[in-house]
Parts: sequence; structure tokens; C-alpha cells
Amino acid sequence: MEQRKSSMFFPLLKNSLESKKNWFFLSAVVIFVSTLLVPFILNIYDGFFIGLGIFEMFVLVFINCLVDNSFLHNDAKMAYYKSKPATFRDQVLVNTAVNVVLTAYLLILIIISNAVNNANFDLFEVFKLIIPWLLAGIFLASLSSILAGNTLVAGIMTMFNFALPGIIYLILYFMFTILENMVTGFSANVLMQYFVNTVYKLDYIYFSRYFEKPLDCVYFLLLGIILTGIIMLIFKTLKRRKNENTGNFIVFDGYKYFASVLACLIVPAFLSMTLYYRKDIAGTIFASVLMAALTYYLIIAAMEKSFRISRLSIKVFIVSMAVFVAVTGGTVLFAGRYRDAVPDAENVKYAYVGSGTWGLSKVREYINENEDSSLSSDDMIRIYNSNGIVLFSDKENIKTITDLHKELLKDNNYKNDLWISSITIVYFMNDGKFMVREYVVDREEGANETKDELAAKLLNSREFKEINYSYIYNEKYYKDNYMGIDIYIGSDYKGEEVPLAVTMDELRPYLMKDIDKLFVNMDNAFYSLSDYHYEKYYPGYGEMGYYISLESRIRSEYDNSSYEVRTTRFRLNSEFENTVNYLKPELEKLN
Amino acid sequence: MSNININAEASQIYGLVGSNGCGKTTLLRHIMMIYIQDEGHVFYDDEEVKENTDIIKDFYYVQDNLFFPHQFTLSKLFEYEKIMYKNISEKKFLELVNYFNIDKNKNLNKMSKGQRKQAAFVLAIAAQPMVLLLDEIVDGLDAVIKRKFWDVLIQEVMEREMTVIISSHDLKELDNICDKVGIMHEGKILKEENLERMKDELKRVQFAVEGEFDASEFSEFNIIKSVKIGSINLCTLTGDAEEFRNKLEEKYKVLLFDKLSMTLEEIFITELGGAGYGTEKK
Repeated sequence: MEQRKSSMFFPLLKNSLESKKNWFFLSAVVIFVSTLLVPFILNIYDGFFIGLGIFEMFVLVFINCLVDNSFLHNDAKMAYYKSKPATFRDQVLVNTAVNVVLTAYLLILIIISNAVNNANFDLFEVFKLIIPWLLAGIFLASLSSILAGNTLVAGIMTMFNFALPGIIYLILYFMFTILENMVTGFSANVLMQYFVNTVYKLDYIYFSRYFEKPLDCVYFLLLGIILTGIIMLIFKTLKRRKNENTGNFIVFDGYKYFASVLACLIVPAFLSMTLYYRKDIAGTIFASVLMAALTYYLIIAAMEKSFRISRLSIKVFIVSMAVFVAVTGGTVLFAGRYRDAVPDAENVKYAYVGSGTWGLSKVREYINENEDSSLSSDDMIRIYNSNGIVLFSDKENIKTITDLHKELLKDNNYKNDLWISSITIVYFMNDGKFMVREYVVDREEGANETKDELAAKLLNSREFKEINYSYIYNEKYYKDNYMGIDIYIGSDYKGEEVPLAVTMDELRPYLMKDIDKLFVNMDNAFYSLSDYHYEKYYPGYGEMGYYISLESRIRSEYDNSSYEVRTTRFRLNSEFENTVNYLKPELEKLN
Repeated sequence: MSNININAEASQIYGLVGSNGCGKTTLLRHIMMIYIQDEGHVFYDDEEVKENTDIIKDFYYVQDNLFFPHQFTLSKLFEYEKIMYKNISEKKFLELVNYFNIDKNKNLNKMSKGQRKQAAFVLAIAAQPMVLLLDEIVDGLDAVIKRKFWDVLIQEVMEREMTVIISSHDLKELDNICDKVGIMHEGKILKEENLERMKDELKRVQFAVEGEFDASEFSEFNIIKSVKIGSINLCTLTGDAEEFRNKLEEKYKVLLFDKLSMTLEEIFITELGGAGYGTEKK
């Protein structure tokens, strides 16, 4: 009957902790000097020194992890420990546990320093993030030390493994960049944002979503899953470790190729991001393949310590690239089917056309949270105020957007004095799905008129005005969400602004009458649509003269006492006849 | 390595000898499960030795390229090993420290190569394993210390029925203490036999005859090697030496005939020579 080696974990842990006395003492000195003594001498009590202490803690724990696990990287050391009755599993777990104890010890020292210094540093917020990082880092250092046959490489591999989700993100982004270049209307940013929000939740993996947010059971569950996953890998790799490869950079051939293939894809990924403005797709792909091959060769040559790399390495590269090309090509072909798709306005619930997609995820959350997936006028205004996005729900306006979309598919050129890089169109469909297209606008001679005409139609629509000038059109919303508007009157000739003794409630009827009939020029309307603030070019927009400036204080959606200031200026020209007449006495005073 | 089949018994000192780079250290490490073989098994008392099994507690390995943890003294290392070896004897440890006259409070990494070997040997014996694997343990030791080593080792083998597998290039030393020998070359075991039997199998004779000796007339005696130095012929053969003498007397007038005893070194050279090792001409 086979007898498993009995665990020596606790006696070894005790022994290891005892032999680490000096390291614990040294670490305590480093932390106390930089977080307690130096601030005391300099009489500076702010978060900087606590931040420095946290950084030092990362360095101390990282070094200790590598030193403790270095027994796996020296043939004589490895043979000594492996020949002992204590299993490698126990020995690696003891080292991991010692580092967890060291981390806890250093965290306590930092808490003490923070309390003594009264540095007012919100440690809890930081600890929410760094404790999972430190724990994952300690476990990953053990795993990387098993995978590597050299301590320096183990250090590099720890960082590589820690960054692995990010590296995969980068490679996916690279794939989507190729897609973006090959299929008009598809945006790598939008696809990645969608992918990250729905499938590849990077903010969960790195715990960044918990920053300034309360902890929940998912946090602990996730941390448990990540650490368990790494422990399983530690056990698995320990069992399969080829100890005779100790001294090589990487002990496992499979991992060597895995890391090399991923690393070689990062270089062209960066290249394609840096050269995003290039339109020469064939050239970019050729350069990317060349860079990937060169990077792969250099990594493998370094790992195999030979300029002549093995046939197997070449085969692995060719197969990996073939897989990458197949997956990317498949995605391109799949997306290509939808390239010219423009939805029927009847099937669209809300549509957006504008300059970017930064508020898109927010809008999606907003719509998802809304049980019957229909937004009220107030909701639309709130979305605009917090994200700068005007959502159209009027079918006529949606039809105008689909017409503009069709026009962009026909011709993506637009040339005038103002520069547009891209325009984004988003449809939120009746069935809950959504569709995003981003079109690069080339500064070439094209059908400007059609685009301007359609854009002006949207900008002059009642729906747009009601959302864009919500403080004028929606009195209730104004009362509920604005902390007030300060009104100034100014003159370009005098270069001064004076506060007006007029309230918004008094001014509103006159402004509303003027804006009702305000008609945005067709010239530049397409540009206005792509501008973040929907800068409008109404007649006389750029003329010198008098103006009123409205400084709105919009209440923050998170905190009732804070607000965001937004300034809007109206030229007091013939377009604002009613307002000018109402403010005549004030204007005369200004003269 | 391939086709390795060796068998060491209790109370036996097994000498593992071989050409440089033939895989002696690798074989010892496979026995200790430091390296895991692609195929094949190691058995101890009919039980398979596997990674992470308690059987390893009965094994102790002293490697050629010694390692001691940083800043450790012999006393401290003994305390550390006490956690792992349940049979470890403090009494024996102290006796051996005195016998070898080692400073047990000196940093092991500051000791000379010879002192480090002694320290490692003391720990190995104090651990009281049932199987002791020693890799080039006497390399670099003076004759007095070597003698002490062998005395302690033989005593342990006799008293505790310990099995020792010892790899060394010092064949003269092994000749004196080994019960059994395995000869390795290029990752294979060329020959494994009880040392006395091995010596019985291979014979060396020296003789002088009138006229020129023709070895081809004696093919039934399997002459492995035949050289002539002056008028004296030296032959290494596996057949019966007395019968060889009789046939020699039938064919020639024998002026001189002597049976010589073979040393382990001679057996080693003969065996490896048969495998084509060291037979290259200048």
C-alpha cells in the first residue's frame, strides 16, 4: 500500500518563520523609516509617504518571494530540497504562507504608521485593491518560480503572468484593430468595450471595479477563485516539473512557447495602435507579421540560448500564427456580413449620432436598469447631462440618422475648415439589442451638403432642443436637478461680463421663444453633430457684439451637495429678438 | 538513460562506476525521485518508490555538488533535518561530530570542501536511513578521512542492514568496500555483478612461451585482451585459467605461467574497452 508523504507544513512553516527573523526586522525598519521617521523629520504628514510605504511593501514581498523560491533554480539546491522527505508542495506552500504572513505584517505596520502620523490616507480604499494584488502576486511568484528555471526569469514571468489578462486584452484589441481596418463601420474601441463589459470583465479580474465602491460577496468569491486557480496550477506544474531542466530559463516547453507566442503578438499590437492612422492595410499586416516573427525568434533564441532555434519552435510559431490569422479572419468575415446593415427606423427605440462612445456603456446600463426599457424625457436629459449624449427617440429623427448612416456608407468624405476624425452611430433596438458603428471621416471632397442637411435636420429638431436646452424647456427637470444658473451679460467690445439681476424663471419664456425658431445653419451642421458639446452655428454665431452667458450648476448624480458647472453663451443678435427686447434696460446699462 | 536494471540488497554496498558523463548522478537522482523517469520503476522492499511517498523518509542522498542553506551551521542544519527524519539520532550526530572533529557551530558555507563533505556525511549517517546514496563522497578527501568514512559506513551497514549505493571514480577505494558493482556507460548498465564473482569471471594470466603466441588458436577461452611486453604475454580472458594453461602447454613450451588477480579498475577498463571506450589510438 502506497503511503503518501505525511505533511510537514506546520513544522516547516515554524522553522521558516524563525529563520526569517532578520528579513522581518529589516522590512519593519524600511517601512518605519519611510512612513514614520522621514515624515516626522520633514514634518510632512500626507499620503505620499504611506504610498511610498505601500510601494516598498510590494518590492519587499516580491524580492522575498523570489528569494524563497530560488531553491527551484539551482541544481544543487533543488536536488537537496527535493531529496528531503518534505514534499515540494509543502515547501512551496510554506514559502507562499511565509510571504502572506510577511504581507500581513507589513500591512499592519503601514496601518500603525498611518494612525500615528494621522496622515488621513484612506487605507481601506487602497487595501481593497492591493490586498488581492499582493495575494495573487505571491501565489503567481510561486507558480512562476516553478515554471522558470532561473530566478531572474521567474521575476519577469511573475510580472508577465500578473499582466496576462491585460496582455490577452491587448491581443484581442489587436484582432479588433485588424477588423476595424478591414470592415468599415466597426470600431476596435467599441468592440473591446462591449467585450470587456459583457464577457472579459477585466475590472473584476484586477478588482478595479471595487475602487471607491463597497465590497460585496463577489469580491471574496472572485479572490477565492483566482487564488484557488493559481494553487491548482502550482500543484499541477509541481507534479509535471522537469527538474533536470533546472537552470534553463523556462522549465516547461509548453509554457515557453505559450509565453513566446503571446509576447511576440504584443509588439505588432503596439505597432498597429501606434500606426492607427495608416490606411495601408497590406503594409501594416506585413510589418506586423515581420515584427511578430522577429520578436518570437529573439525570445526563443534567448530562452534556448542559441541563435539556431529548433524546428519545433518554428512549427509552433507557424501554427500559432495560422490560428491567429484564422480566428481574426473568421471574425472579419463574420463582421463583414453586417458591414452594410442599416436598421429600419421602426425597429429602433433610441438612436445616437455623435463624436464618441465614452458614454455608451453608461447609456446601456441606464437602459438595462429601466425595467420596461423605455426612457422618459427626464431620463434622456439626465443621460445628456451626465454623458453629453443626446438620445433620439422620435421616429422621424431616427429615420434621419439611418439616412445619414446610409450616406456615410456611400461616402465617408467631408471637407471644410473644421476637422472631424470620426462619427459614431448607435442604435438601441426595440428587442434590447444594440448596434454601434464608427466611421472614419476622410478629409476629402465629398457630398458635404447631404450630410450637413441631415445633421441640421437633427439639430433643429424639437427633440434635440428639448434635451440640449433642458434648463429652458423642462422646468420640472430644472428644478429637480439644477442647483441654479448664474446669468451674466457681456460685451465683446468692452471685454467684460456683469451679473444680471434676472432669474432663469424670468428669462426662460423669452429664450424659449427665440430658441424655438432658432435655425442652425446648414454649413458645418455635420461638424456640429460630431462635436462633444454640439456646438451650433446659428446665424450670427461668430459676430462680435453682446451676449448672455449662462453658468449652470448641475447637481451631481452621486452627491447632492456637489455640482458640475456648464457654461452656455448666446449671442444677443437678431436671432434672439425676444431676449434682446426683454434685456434692453440691462444692455443700455452696459453701454 | 535506457535499459537500466540494477539491484542493491540490504546490508550491501553497491558501487556505481562508469565513464564520465555516463549518467551516474542522473541515475541516483532518479532513485531519489528528484528526476521523474519517463518510464520504468524504482522498488524498495517490493514497494514502488513514487514521488511524494513516505518511503523517501528511509532514503538519504548526499550529492556531489553539496548545497547547504545560507548561513546555516551544522547544528542548525541538524535541527532542520530533525523536522523531516524521524529516526535521526542526536547521539550519533554528536559522536560523529567528535569522531570527525568538525566545528558544528561554524557556517557550513565557510568550510573547506573536505569539511563540507564530512559534515554532509555526518548528517547522512545521523539520519539513520535504510538506503544511503552517496555521490562522489570521498572525492577530495585525504586518506585518513577516507579511512574514517569507510569505517563508519561499514559499521552502519553491518549494524543496521543499511543499503549503500555509492558512485565514485575512485575505483581503488571502491574495490576495498563494495559488495556489488554496476558499470555504466553512455546511460546504460554494461555489467552488474557481485564484485568477487566479477573478479572470478575475468582472469588475467601472464606467461612466456617459446616461439610466437597466437591468440587465435585459443578462441574458446574468449581472450578479451592480449598484449606482449618484451617476452611476457598478458592475456585477459573469461574462460578457465587452468584449462588455458593446459592447452598452452600442449601447443607451446611454457617457460613461465602466473595467474594474476584483477582489480576493479582493471575490470572497469576491460569492460569499457569492450564497449569501445578509451580504445582510440593516439
